[in-house]
Amino acid sequence: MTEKPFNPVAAWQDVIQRWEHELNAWSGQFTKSEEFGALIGQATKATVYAQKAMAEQTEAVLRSLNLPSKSQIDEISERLAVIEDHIAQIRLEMGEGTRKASGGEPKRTRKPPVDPKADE
Amino acid sequence: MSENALELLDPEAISQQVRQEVDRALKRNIKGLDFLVADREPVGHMPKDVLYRDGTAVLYRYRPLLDEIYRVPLLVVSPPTNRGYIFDLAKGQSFFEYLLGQGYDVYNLDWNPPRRDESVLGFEDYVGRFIPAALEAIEDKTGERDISLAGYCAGGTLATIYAALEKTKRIRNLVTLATPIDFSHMHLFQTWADKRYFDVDLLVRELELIPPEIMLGAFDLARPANRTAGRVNLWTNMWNDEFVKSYRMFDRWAAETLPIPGAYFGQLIKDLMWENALVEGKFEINGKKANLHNIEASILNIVAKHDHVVSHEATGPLMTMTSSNDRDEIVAKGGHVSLVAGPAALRRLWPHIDTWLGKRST
Repeated sequence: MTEKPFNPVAAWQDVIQRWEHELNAWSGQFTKSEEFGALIGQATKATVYAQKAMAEQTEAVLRSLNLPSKSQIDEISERLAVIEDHIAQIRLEMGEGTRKASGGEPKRTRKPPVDPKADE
Repeated sequence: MSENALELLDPEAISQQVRQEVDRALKRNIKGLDFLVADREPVGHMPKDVLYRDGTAVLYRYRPLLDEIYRVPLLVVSPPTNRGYIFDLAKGQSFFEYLLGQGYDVYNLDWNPPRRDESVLGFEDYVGRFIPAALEAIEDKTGERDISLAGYCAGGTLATIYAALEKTKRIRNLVTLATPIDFSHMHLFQTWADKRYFDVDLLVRELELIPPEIMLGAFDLARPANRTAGRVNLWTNMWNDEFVKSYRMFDRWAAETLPIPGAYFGQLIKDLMWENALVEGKFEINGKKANLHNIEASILNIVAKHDHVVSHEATGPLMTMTSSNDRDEIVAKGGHVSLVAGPAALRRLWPHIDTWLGKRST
């Protein structure tokens, strides 16, 4: 019987894999606990408030600098999305979508291959 | 010194190993630089056409590959949080490419990022408006009323709720991939959204559209080592073009997780997560109860053995609470995403789906 020669890369990958499994297993246990629920609930709430405060501050600064704010850019992008929607609707109503797809429709008569072992 | 130990110290083997490692280290450095400056990895390669669009909802028809296809069209519903290109990542790793190659007429109800004015969209819209509109568009296109309805993750939940609204012969088959139904078994999300501490109304009110980071944070906490280990594996395999390409495609997909409308998120948390309303028979769409007992279609329930998002138990009611007398289940090796993407699914899972679905699609 011959042993494989020592492969440092494989050993390194093995270490990483074991570390990944152990840390994930530990975290898996932690995330099942009530403490985790309480912690994440508070953290989410704090994040929302912090994001809101930050957004308001940034918006005010950008306004004073006469620069477009995120909400203004969002507004423009939403108006663009609505225009895109309408273009798509017009295109569909003009039949472009169906025309493209309907070039030589295949027959819908296919049967599954007969193979007694195929059914599992 | 033993003979084995001498073999381990074989100078030829050691020098070959050193040469290989030096070569790979050079490639890692060269390709690592490429990786840092590269554009986004292109995804989605099968030609498709838009058949229907309504704000966030978009229905694609993938162009058939064969001259003769199965009679019953297949509609795959994407999860509202994710881009549908996961079903069509790249040549040789595409679920849709595989299905088209086997002769299916494939449609995908996919989602664009919702606009701020769509933050009011709820299950009434996803199940009660978008799915029926997609079915109507497919019927207009094909002349076929029968349908095979499929869904992945929350897309499967939407498809199941639709199928549960009334007894119908129209839905011939229901194929669910990693689909949560019994939310009491969604353990990570149950603790993450613990009713005592999780202020869902605050989130919906203040954010309107729920950004993906809110939910991705929970995944990261459940698997904190994954990201770092993934980076280390990427570095180790940087010399391997196929590995890097695959990594970048999955990375792009994960990074492009979609925000979801606040109203939908509120119902998901309050009705499904807290009340388990679908299993309890209390979930309603436009005043109509979704009753799992209404589902008489053939069911193929597919779950991943190592899925840390949707457990096998969470999918259980599909096999126990529906009226179908033709139900099958596949427990596939791998994790949540490996059911719908990657070379392993192509070899191990998709042929089973084809075998099952083919004879029920005529």
